Amino acid sequence: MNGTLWSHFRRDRWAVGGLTVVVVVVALCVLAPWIAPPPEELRPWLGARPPLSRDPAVALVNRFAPGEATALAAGCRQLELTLSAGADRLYRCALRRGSLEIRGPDARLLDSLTVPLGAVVVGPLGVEGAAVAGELRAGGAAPRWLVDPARPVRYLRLSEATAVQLWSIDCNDGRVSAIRCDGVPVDHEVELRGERVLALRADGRERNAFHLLGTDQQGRDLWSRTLHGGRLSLLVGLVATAVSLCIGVLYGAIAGYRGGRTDAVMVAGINILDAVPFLFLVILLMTALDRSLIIFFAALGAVQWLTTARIVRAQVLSLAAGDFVLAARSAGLPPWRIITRHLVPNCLGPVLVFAALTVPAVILEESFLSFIGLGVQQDGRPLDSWGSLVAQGMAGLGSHGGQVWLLAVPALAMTGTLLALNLVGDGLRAALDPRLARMAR
Amino acid sequence: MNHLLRRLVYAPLVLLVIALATFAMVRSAKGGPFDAERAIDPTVQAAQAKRMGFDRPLPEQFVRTMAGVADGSLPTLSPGQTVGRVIAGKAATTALLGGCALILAVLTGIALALAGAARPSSWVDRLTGSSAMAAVAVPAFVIGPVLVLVFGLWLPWLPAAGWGTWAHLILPVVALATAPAARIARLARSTLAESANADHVRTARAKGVGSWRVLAVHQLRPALVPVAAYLGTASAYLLTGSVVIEQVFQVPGLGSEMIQAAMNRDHNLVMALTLLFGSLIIVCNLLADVAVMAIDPRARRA
Repeated sequence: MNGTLWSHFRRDRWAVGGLTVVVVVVALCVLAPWIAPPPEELRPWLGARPPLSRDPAVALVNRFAPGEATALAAGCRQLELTLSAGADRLYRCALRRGSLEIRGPDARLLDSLTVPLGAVVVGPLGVEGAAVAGELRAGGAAPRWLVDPARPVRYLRLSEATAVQLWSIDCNDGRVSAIRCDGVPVDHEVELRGERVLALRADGRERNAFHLLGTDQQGRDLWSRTLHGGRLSLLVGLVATAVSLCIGVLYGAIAGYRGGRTDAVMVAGINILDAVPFLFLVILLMTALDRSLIIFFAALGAVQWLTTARIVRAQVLSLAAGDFVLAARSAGLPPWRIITRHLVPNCLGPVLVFAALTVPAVILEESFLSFIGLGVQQDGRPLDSWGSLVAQGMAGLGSHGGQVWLLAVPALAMTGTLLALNLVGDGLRAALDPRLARMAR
Repeated sequence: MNHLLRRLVYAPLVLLVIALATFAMVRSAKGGPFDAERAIDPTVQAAQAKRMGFDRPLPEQFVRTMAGVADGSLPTLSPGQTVGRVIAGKAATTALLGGCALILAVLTGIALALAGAARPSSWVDRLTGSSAMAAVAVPAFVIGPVLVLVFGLWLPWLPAAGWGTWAHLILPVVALATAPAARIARLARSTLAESANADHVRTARAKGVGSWRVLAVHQLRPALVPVAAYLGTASAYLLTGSVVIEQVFQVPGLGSEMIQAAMNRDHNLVMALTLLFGSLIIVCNLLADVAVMAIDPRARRA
């Protein structure tokens, strides 16, 4: 039975593509704690950074002084920074007959010796302020990019390359107790500038300094938040679907097996509940109760079971007339065992296909609720899910449309997953249909 | 007729279920609006309970509450405000938003289906088909912010939020109508495909009727039946969608009122709005049935 289903499914390119996406998303979300930094690590000094950015300001202008508490040091006991210290100086620069004439900050003409050979240009160059990095040798021929007539060179910032230093800061209850530079204790206040931080370790753990999808306003890694939000969305989707399956299968099987008046009443029940706007009841429920994970599973599962019950009832109704049920009954099996052992396994195929379409529906509802601020809470704190991330991303647009990635990343993750799940569900349904047709024949 | 009759019989039962469910939830609510850090004097509490009618037997409370919802006299949290007045003040906004979205969705959906069916498996057909499939999966609260970003902030053609002029209406209506339009396009497209080989269509073609006329006259009518049947579901979608869309575009309607009330734990208002939306959906389902019967004579005879 599964073999034919799979062989039909495999021919549907869209469905297979959807399944691939689903598998990748689920794998990433399940592995999130191992492949992404902790999502709740607040680094407000970092701010919102676009995707593919490296922590540029891990310790941006953080002042460390022995015996003083600092924002960066508050959470950890030891902090190590590897940084290359260098002083920036503004130089005035002019091209004369193919050679460079460089004046220092005080407009004094510097001879070639005062500009260190191999100095690295790090700052804005030209009036447009484009940042260019390159090697500069005073007195020698200018690099080709400097002699661009369209971009007159006026200022450039030179940084004297110095050796890499390792700073380590010991913290005690959030207070800085010792500062060492390359192992030598320093007893004065130090200011560590973030631009040159190469690596950062706290409590011996390497901090992730690269943000694949950028960070939000609090400096939280968006890749990590999206994956962890996806964990919640997928978890609610799967468990609530399982709950709806249990209710629907049980209800439908009882209605179909008992038949007669019981069936009529139970079908009327389904028809009545079908017209009830459950989502509004769920909103009311979320305001009335505490919004724990369990309540989400139950509430969203209770919304979705009606169609499952219909499918199971129709299947059981036709199966119950079969000889194997008669045999089981004459063997003295109680109705409960007949339902669970003989009827339910026989209608599992269509039920599971429908369940594949229920998962995205539940995820959509969960996202809807968390978007309007009624998402899952734990210990009074709202948990991230794709819906709440989209809501925060929308808030991050502000009035200029900046920080687009905060909206785009969770929105794409959610719609991509929903679309993929729908494709899988449609593919399964299409794969099941010929089988049903053959059964009818 | 049978179907419609059954719906009419079920309608009050559905309302009763909603009413009982909302009442049970409100009464079992843990945190109330009057929860205070300090313990309240029991006599004050008793007086308060007496004033709110909490000392009566539950069935009586239920009937009183529902009567209060029905005539709109149930008080909300804001002093002196009743649910009737809050709803009356904001209903027109939501009705305008939902009505425009419904019209836009039906027109766009049918137009897309016709455009695809005019030349089956052409690039137009494949484009409309696949974009409809994708649009069904995109929730309104994603389309809304994206529209705000593109047409409100990047290309500042339309106001990103707010309410008042016709320009404020465009983005929320489009955001709300996208998913139902896609659904309608898919429904109508599949029926059009089925009827492409039907006898009456072949006869019309054989008589020399133009292909657009066959499509718009002979094939469209049966394709409208599932669309009309879907309108009941669509109204439910539009009402839930209006909750998020009004939040996204800061439209002062019933949807944003619902969120406000939910956040403030204004149980009476949430209950009244839930019942109102429930009755609206029941009415829309009935109207959809009537529409199906108006289009399809077979449904009348059944």
